[in-house]
Amino acid sequence: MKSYTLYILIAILAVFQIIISNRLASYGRKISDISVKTNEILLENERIKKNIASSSAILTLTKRAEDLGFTKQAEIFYIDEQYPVAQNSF
Amino acid sequence: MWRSRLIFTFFLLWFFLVIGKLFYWQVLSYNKLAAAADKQHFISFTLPALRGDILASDGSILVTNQPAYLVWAEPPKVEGKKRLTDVLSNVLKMPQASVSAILDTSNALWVPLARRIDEDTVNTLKQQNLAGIGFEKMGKRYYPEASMSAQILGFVASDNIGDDKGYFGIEGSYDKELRGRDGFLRQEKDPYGFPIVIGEGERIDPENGRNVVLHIDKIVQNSIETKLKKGIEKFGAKAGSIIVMEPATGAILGMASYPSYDQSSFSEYDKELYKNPTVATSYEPGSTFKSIVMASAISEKVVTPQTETDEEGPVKISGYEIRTWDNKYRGRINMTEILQHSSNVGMVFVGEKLGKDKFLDYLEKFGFGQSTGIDLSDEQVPNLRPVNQWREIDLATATFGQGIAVTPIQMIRAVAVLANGGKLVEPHIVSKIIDSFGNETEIKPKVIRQVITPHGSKVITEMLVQSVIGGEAHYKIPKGYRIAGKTGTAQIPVAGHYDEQKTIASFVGYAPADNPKFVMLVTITEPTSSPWGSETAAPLFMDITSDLLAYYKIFPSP
Repeated sequence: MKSYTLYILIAILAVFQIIISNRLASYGRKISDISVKTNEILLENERIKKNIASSSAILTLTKRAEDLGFTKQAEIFYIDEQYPVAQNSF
Repeated sequence: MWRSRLIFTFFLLWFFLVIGKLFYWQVLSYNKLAAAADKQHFISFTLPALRGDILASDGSILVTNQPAYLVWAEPPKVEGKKRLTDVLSNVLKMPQASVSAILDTSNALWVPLARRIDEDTVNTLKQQNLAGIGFEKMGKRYYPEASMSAQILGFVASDNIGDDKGYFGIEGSYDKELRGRDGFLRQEKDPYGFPIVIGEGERIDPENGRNVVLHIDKIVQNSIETKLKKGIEKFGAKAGSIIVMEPATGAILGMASYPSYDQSSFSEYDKELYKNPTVATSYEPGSTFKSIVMASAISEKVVTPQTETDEEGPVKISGYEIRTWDNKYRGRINMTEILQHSSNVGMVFVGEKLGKDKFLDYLEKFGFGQSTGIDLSDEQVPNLRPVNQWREIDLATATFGQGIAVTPIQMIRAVAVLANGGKLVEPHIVSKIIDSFGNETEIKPKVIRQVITPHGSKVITEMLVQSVIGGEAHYKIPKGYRIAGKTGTAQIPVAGHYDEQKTIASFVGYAPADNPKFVMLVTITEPTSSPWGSETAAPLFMDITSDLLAYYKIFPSP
């Protein structure tokens, strides 16, 4: 009886291994798909980073400022803290 | 009997034949067959590392990567060669003859056609469904600020085995840190080419390149490049440069040169433009050097600002006559007035008081004749005359900056000594390096030595402030600020003598004088509107200084 139990156990484990190996065999395609998706996302990241860098470049911002009507400050005024801009009068 | 021996011999021969064949397949052809089997059962490829970014001081991008591709062809699989040649030639903008020659490479199974092709171009080619043409991703640099800082940044090109390598500038000096290390993947595959999860495999992850953060302030850099270009046009000059540095730490805040080049199309420019002239070319500093000599004499206590000398006329030294720049002689003048009027005759007196030995000693202490240690690979170091070859006339002319060659970076580093309490610092472009895990390695400021006393630094600063206020020229000085500085107009040596017409005009100074935020050197080569530093480099310096003082929110005194 004991020797039959062992053989049955071995047979069950063998069947399990076949089932699991069969499932794992198909994972290769999934891994390949994930790898392709990962590369696409990394590529998209590169594109986005490039666009952000371009949008925040000084040349781009200068042009945008000019289009919005900004001009270079001709003269800079400094307000002395001794003389506040507005005062209370009661 | 003989028949059995014959049969035995036959079997013996056959046995040795089989052994020999087995030996051939299993031993001599082992490597070839193992490789073939490996190729059948395994896929292997390199996992490329991303090259690191170069960032400005505020973390914004100066250089990054953009998607690009290698376009390749498999000549045996190419169909419709004439049409293919036309399409490739038009889209890749290559001569038809070149494309045709590449595709005609009869022995090759695979040939590269074009490198670093952008995505849009590749998509155009993909839409054509060209047989035998493929694409492989590769790195290409992107410069969001266009050609700004080209001579600081350098560029990336292929080396002699086709790998990316940095040349010149930061790309060259920090190539090892920026390039990273490629990874590797080897995996068992099924008949469809998909990986077998429980199969054999080996993976080494790529280590992306490190990001390099510069001290360069993008706003300062843009400002000095724009103003330098305008200044060159206004003064009708051949070339020019500007360096802005933090005197206490040696941090380079801005560095501009003209002419320059566009690093995204570097091959279209003269190779001479790749070098950064602020570190790679030398010039005679002229009267700006008087600040260094005077500071040395003050520190040695051989003169004080009130020490007087006679400026009666030209001075004769070893048969040569040394005159003032304007041939005017003011009689009794003090050391401050020597700087105000930029008197060559007065500086000869200072040099004599200092003495040859002390003068040469201070030349060395100020770092002339030595590398500054700046982190750019193209630094040149002009040689100083050997100690035993200094004649009396050489000492005399060197006191007003002629007969001695320096680089702009050596000059600004020396003037920084006057601004920061007397210390010689090591200039640096890079402030820190960040690896792909976010770990930062800071490059700390380095003080090399104490050159002049702190008291000497204060005294010379005051003299240079007076030199700006009471100087010969009347350029517009930002109101309410104390600015220390000195003009320079140096003749250019040509074939053993000095050119009568051509000069290098310069101005070096720092502001605010009592707690300097920056030291700046402006050089203008061969200006044609006026040869004088006071009429070209000085106004340009003051214009930029005005902007920098506002940018750094440094308030004027009431």
